[in-house]
Amino acid sequence: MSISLHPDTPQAGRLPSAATGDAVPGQPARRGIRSRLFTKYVVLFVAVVAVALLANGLFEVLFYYREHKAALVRVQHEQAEAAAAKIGQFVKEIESQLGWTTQLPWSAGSIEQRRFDALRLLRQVPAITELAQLDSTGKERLRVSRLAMDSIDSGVDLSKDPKFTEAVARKVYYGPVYFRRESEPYMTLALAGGRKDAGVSIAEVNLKLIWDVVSQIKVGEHGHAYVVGPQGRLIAHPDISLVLRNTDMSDLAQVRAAQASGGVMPDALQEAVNIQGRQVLTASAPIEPLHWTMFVELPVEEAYAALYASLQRLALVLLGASIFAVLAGIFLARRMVGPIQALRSGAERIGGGDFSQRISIKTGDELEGLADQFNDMGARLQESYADLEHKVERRTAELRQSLDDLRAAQDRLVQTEKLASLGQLTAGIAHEIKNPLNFVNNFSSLSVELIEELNDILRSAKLDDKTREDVDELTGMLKGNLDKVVQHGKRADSIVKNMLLHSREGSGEHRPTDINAIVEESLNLAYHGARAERAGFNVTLGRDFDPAAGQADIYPQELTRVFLNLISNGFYAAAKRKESAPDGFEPTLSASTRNLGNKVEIRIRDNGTGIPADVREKMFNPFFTTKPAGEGTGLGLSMSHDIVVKQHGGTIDVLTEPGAFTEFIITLPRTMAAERLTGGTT
Amino acid sequence: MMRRRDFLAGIGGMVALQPCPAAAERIYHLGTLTPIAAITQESPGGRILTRTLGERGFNLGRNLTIEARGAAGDLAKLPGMIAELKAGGADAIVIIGYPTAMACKAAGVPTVAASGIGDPVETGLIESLAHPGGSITGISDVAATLSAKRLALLKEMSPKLSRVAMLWNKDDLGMTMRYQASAKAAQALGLTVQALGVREPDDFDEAFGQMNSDLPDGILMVADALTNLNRKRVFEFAASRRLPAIYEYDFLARDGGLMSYGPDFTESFERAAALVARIFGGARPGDLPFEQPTRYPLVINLRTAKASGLDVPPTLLAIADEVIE
Repeated sequence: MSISLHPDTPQAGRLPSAATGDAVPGQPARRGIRSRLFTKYVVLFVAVVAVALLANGLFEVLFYYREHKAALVRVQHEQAEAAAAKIGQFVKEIESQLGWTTQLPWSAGSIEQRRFDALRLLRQVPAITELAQLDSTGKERLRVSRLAMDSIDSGVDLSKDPKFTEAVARKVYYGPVYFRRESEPYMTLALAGGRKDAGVSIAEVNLKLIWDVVSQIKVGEHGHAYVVGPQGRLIAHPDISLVLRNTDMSDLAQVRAAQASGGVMPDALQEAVNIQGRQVLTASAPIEPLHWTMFVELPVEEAYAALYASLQRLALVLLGASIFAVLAGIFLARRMVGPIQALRSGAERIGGGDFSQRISIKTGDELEGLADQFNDMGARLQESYADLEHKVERRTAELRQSLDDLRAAQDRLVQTEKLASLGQLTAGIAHEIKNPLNFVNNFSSLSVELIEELNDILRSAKLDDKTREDVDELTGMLKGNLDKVVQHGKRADSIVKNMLLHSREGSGEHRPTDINAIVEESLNLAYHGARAERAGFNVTLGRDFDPAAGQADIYPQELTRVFLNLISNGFYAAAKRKESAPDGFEPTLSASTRNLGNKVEIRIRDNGTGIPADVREKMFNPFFTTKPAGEGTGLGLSMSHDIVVKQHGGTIDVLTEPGAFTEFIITLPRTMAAERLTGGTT
Repeated sequence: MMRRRDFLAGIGGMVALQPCPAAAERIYHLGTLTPIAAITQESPGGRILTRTLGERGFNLGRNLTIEARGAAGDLAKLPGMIAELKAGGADAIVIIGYPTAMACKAAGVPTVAASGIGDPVETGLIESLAHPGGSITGISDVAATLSAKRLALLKEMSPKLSRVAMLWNKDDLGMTMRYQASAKAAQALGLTVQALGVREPDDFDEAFGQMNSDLPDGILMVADALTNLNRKRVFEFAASRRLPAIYEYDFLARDGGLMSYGPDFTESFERAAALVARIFGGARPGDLPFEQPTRYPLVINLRTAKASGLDVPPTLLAIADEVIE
């Protein structure tokens, strides 16, 4: 078959055990395949989602970082500028308060009134520790102080002092920052009046009070603002100790950079280390016109806290999304791989020969369609397989039948050949025995006649009685012996005659003969023969002739012998059974014919003793008989077999049950084949 | 199912990884010490200290204890009290007065001088205002330089002033220096000084006797533990003799003195509390610069003036920072 040429197509006749045996070693590999697909799906899904999320997250972080930093820088710049403005405001306020003292010319008003005004100014402006007033010539006319006694008209000449000259020249003079007792920062603020003769007011301003301003400037949670003077000295800082310690800030990179570029720091120095050594985000703004620099700084951790928090949130979201992706991936892969797995195992079982396997997938998609197609395929395979099996069964039965027929024919042939050779042997022997036997018979008959003649002769001779008696006795005995020789000689002759029948074929002529008629005739003949042989013989005859039996081309004489033989055997068996059977047993013999188309069947059945199995094997052998010696030659059945099988090409079978019945079945072809006739001659 | 449970367990684990709250809060111990009366919770100084420390995150009953000690005038007790405070685990001691500061310097405890210690550089208490060194910081007292200013104000109150009596604690170097500065300033103002150095409360009667026998035009009291302790007697004496008197601290004027000019007591204690907070925060006192007062309120007690039958010049009232009526 062509199917077997495809190694990947499982054979239909494969045994289930073989299939499972194959499947077992293949199992681990298939597990691997299954998990690989599953893992692949999950990994792919997670990778896709993770890449998308990560890309999104990274972009977001990048832009957020830049925006956040830019915003921080902007805010810090604004804070620095606002703080600088506040400090400027602080100084301007002092300046404007001081302005009141320079309104009037020295010619107007009493010095006492000026002193009173100056004291009130001190009271109003706590930052001014000392106030001096010079007239237009630069002479000190009044000095009031919080700590020292007031002095009036001290006459100190300050006309060459920059406090005076600068103030006169520019209306206002901001002196350098100095530290009283090396601790408190002070600045001289000199202001010239609007009028030429108003003179100059010189105030010593305690810059420590800027502390109030800078400590109120809020820069984030932990950030602060501070002010650095032109020489890099710290002027104001929320930590007053740093100011009082007269701290030099010029070592800080951001201070140097800011002062080098006029108060505004380059952006590159946004992150720097502050005076406490902490990393800070810082910005600066100039405080004009003092040439101070305002710095604001915010610890980096705090500045970026929002950034870090959002990064953390983003990380959490990413993590959550990744976990979701993994779960979704597992779920989807399971939904995908599950049906595939079901399909695979279903296909495997169908492949293993289990065609009743049906795959149930209710996903409502292509997979379900695929499963349905698999099921259809399975159903078709199952059908074809069942059909195939049916055919094989039928063929096998036919083959078996043929084989049985062949065997029967072979047996019969063997039997026929055996019987044929036996028949030939028998005929040969008979032929050789017949002549000596004729001599024995003829001469013994002649001897009987000679004894008669001897007796006649002796009757006339004179013999004493005694002798006569002896002679008579002897001749009588001879005669008796000779009679026996004649009798048994005749018997032997009859045997030989029967034996010779074996070698004789085609005796008579064959012609189409009515089967029913010949069976009827044989039946009658046999019956009457039996009645003639044994008085009181009685048997019930049955006839069941098929009217369609018709004619067959046979040797009528030969077949009549066969029927007679079989019928008389039946009579014998039935009678024998009656001898030992209880009363009421009725010996029966029935004959039936049946039309078999180109054959005709004849059955002879008796309800006699039946044939034991050991007898059945040998009953067609020549000289085999179960009858007492003298009653049968043992050649009847042997001859019948020869006639039916060899002469007519028919068959002879026997059905029997010991103690119940015996049935001979003879089938005869309607026409004798020529070859069979020639075969029969050999 | 298993995976899902693992994942949930993982989330739980992450939550559990959150840092646990900090360990029990540290408790800070503050000692206060004066040569006279202890700075109790009810005293003005105690209230300011408590309030200011509270603003800076140190609260009584939560993370702050205050142990107040006063030597009741017996300076010999100071070292023993300092030792007690030290043994009590004081993280810092707020003190008043030069002798206390000296005792604390000897003991080496972190000390914040709130007031009344004179000029710490001149008395040799510290090296410089900016870098005190040692274990003391606080508020520098410029009372000595203010003496001349006070005398001027006293003269303004009573223009006919030519002779002024000065009460000070002779045993106190800071006060003696302050007296000396005041005497110098008086001479510059053309005033004569009646020096009334006292050592103990009993000396006040003698001083009052001297003044009775030779009545001055006004009184300047150099405030220290001893004089503060006997302030009521001085107020009464001044009122009874209708003498204008000027004191160094605003609380003395509020307490019945005629007028005062000196550093703002509240500011001093606030700054002192701020320094304490820095020390609590881990700063070394020697690194914290001494601070100078910025406000010098002029306080005039009109009640006392009326009771003494004194007329306060309107210009003086106009420039006064506080007028008690």
